[in-house]
Amino acid sequence: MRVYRPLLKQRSLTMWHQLAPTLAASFLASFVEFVEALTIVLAVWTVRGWRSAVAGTVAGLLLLVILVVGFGPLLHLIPIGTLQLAVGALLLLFGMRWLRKAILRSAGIIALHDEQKAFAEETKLLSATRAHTRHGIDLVAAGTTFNAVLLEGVEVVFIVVALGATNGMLVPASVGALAAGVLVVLIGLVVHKPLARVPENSLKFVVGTLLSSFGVFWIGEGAGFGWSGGDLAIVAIALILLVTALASIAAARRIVKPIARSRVG
Amino acid sequence: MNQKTTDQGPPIDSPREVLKKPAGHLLLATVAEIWSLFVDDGLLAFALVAWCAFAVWGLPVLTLSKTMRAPTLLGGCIVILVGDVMATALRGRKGK
Repeated sequence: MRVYRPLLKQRSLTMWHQLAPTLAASFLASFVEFVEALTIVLAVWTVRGWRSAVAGTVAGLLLLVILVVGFGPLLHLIPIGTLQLAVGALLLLFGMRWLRKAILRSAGIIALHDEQKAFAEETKLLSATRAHTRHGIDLVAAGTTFNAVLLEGVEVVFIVVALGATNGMLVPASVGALAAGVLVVLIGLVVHKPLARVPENSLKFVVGTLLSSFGVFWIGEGAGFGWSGGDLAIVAIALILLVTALASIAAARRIVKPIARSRVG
Repeated sequence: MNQKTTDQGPPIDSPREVLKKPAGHLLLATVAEIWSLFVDDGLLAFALVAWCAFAVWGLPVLTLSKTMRAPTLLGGCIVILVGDVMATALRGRKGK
């Protein structure tokens, strides 16, 4: 038994350094997407009632499940090298887009995302549109939540598939997304307001860093470059990107600052 | 086109038009949403794709040692990101 203990410890360590980044990236990225969907669902709920909001949400979720069940198995038909390259490139584009935006928002170059404002805009739009009710469900309102859940859901599905499909981590990636979904729904039910206090930009900063790290890692793996340290390289890449992003914020602030000063002066 | 106006704000469609819109626009909206998942700043996306393509197929052709290929791939991506952020910051400065 003693002989196997170090081996078991090493195995569980190996599992954790593979599991933790996948779980964290999936949870945080999905959390951001679910918060955005919740804002629209709550707006519909407030203006047109819970029935239409729930009907659209359930329909959107059903279509997502059908898409995942229908297209999911096709992934196994793609050779692993091609899959790693394709998923890596998509993850890199997705992650860098979020990271860039988070850097520019932190540096004050573009405005922060405001869930309260998005909620107010959606509420105003719905108030200006006439209801068209059938069987107690307002079809326009249900269509709005259906669109929101489907579009944000597609992003969640992509995140889960991209993080999990190439390295057999589909279950942890799904668990992360599911946990985020349950948490957002619970908070939404309790608070019944858009989650304006969620530090969305900080989340996007972390998620952008993690997804970009996975992206670069999988492109390298798909090209057969081989990373020293194996899977641990993902953590190292994330740290390098994090330091670079923080330095970029400081540098971008220095570029923009003289204008703010001259405006005050 | 069957549009009515209210004193509340912008013109609104008749219920029938509104009902047609989500279904008709859903496919386009989904495609646009999927595109916008990956492409926000077109130049950044293009530079990243071009660099990755060069790294994957070009680096093995060059006499770069195998251990240096992965760090070079990462280095290029970092340079592109930083360059894009700085260019955007400078554009913002000029714009203001």
